[in-house]
Amino acid sequence: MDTLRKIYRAKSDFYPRMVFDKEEGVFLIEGRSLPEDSEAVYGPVLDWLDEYGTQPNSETKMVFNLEYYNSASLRKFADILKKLKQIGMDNGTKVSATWYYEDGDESSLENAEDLASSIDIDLEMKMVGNA
Amino acid sequence: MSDTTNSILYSELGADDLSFVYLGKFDNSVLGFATEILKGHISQTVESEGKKNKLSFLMIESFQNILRYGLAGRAAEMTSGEVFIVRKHKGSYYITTGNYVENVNIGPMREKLERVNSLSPEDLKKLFMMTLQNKKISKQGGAGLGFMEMVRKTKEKLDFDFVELDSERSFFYFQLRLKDDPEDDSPALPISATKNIKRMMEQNGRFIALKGDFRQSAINPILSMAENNISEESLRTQRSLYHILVEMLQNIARHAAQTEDGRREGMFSMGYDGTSFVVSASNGIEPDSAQRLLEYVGKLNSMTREQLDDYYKRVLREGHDDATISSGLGLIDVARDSIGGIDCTVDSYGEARILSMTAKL
Repeated sequence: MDTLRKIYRAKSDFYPRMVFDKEEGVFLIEGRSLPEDSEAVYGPVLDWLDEYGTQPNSETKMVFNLEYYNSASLRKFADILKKLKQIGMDNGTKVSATWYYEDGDESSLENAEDLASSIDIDLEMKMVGNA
Repeated sequence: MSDTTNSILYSELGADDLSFVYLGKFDNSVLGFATEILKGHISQTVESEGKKNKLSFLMIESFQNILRYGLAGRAAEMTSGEVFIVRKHKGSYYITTGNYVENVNIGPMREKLERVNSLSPEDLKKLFMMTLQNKKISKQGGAGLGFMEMVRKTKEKLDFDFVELDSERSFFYFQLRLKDDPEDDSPALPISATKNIKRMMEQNGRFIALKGDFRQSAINPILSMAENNISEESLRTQRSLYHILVEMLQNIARHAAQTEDGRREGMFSMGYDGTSFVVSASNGIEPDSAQRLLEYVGKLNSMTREQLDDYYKRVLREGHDDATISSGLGLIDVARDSIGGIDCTVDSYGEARILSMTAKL
């Protein structure tokens, strides 16, 4: 079980950087997420979480730091949060998430609020400075 | 014979601050170029990062709709007939797509669109949240959520039209409006405008047209996009075409009359007319400069290839004898590369003079 592989995906024009690393406790999606086929990108992440969920860390902190994303990705973010919530409930572990948005990006903030209330998960929204 | 496509397009899109029309190959790489091109053009007018992200989101969703609902197994033709347009007109942005759909899909699509249009903001939010929670994914992969997000982000109804082509296929036009100025109460651009533009582009074999401010470094992404459309040509053709493109684009920046707010307004289009590649550039110009350029291009056109080569070397050595023509070597180069010289016209639209140059390769 300790040999759960890591997911590391470098960012590109259309795909986000992703890190899912149990040992380091890093769960991250950042950059642009514009896949036409969102299942191809996030299917493996959801599978990974299933496996992770059989023996999760005592605390899981998921980070979303996205510049652009399409609606197909948003749906997958919801699936990821749902899965994390389930992992927390099944194992009695702590689960939370942080959603970064840029100053003035109301739609991103609005999406985060929608996710938080529809999934009912501890989702902190943090503003990032304009780089 | 004069090629007036560019100048006609220029007048059709005349009131726009920005127009981007694409009828070429549709794949995700095009989406990358399109966002780059538009980012360069909108960065000056959209201050807020949020608005820019919203616009990007809407473009991406619309574009992916073409990929999602487009017919399967489409050949990678030069011009597929599918269209993607972004315009900044008066106080609003318009994103319009046109693509083929199978008639059997029209019913469900229309139902989704009408449903989303009919809902109050509150009900839309409820449906949105329910969809986020619901595991069921529609066959086309989240189109419902996409349409909902479009309405939520634009706060406008979705405009659309289906035009039946035959018993199996229809053409689906789809338009979003995002108000840049919330007070903009000008009537929405009709979908018929898109039909006109598409027809005009198709009749003249154009696959890219861009009208906007050519002052900034908008040129690189245009070149990348054009490159993508000619990647199957021989290296020699690619190089020459690239060369002409660079010169024509820079020529707009150089000669365009500056508007009151400092913009260098111009229009660029590129296409394939069945035998040659066609590149056109148009820009508003002062009458005096227009006259001088007409004469200058006339002079270049009258030269033989050898004379052009000699002239090129002389200008390289000594500079221009006419200091008012600051174009240096650019137009000589275009004249050397293009078939039958540079087609140069000046059209009047009211007070304005529009200079158009077209080169074929």
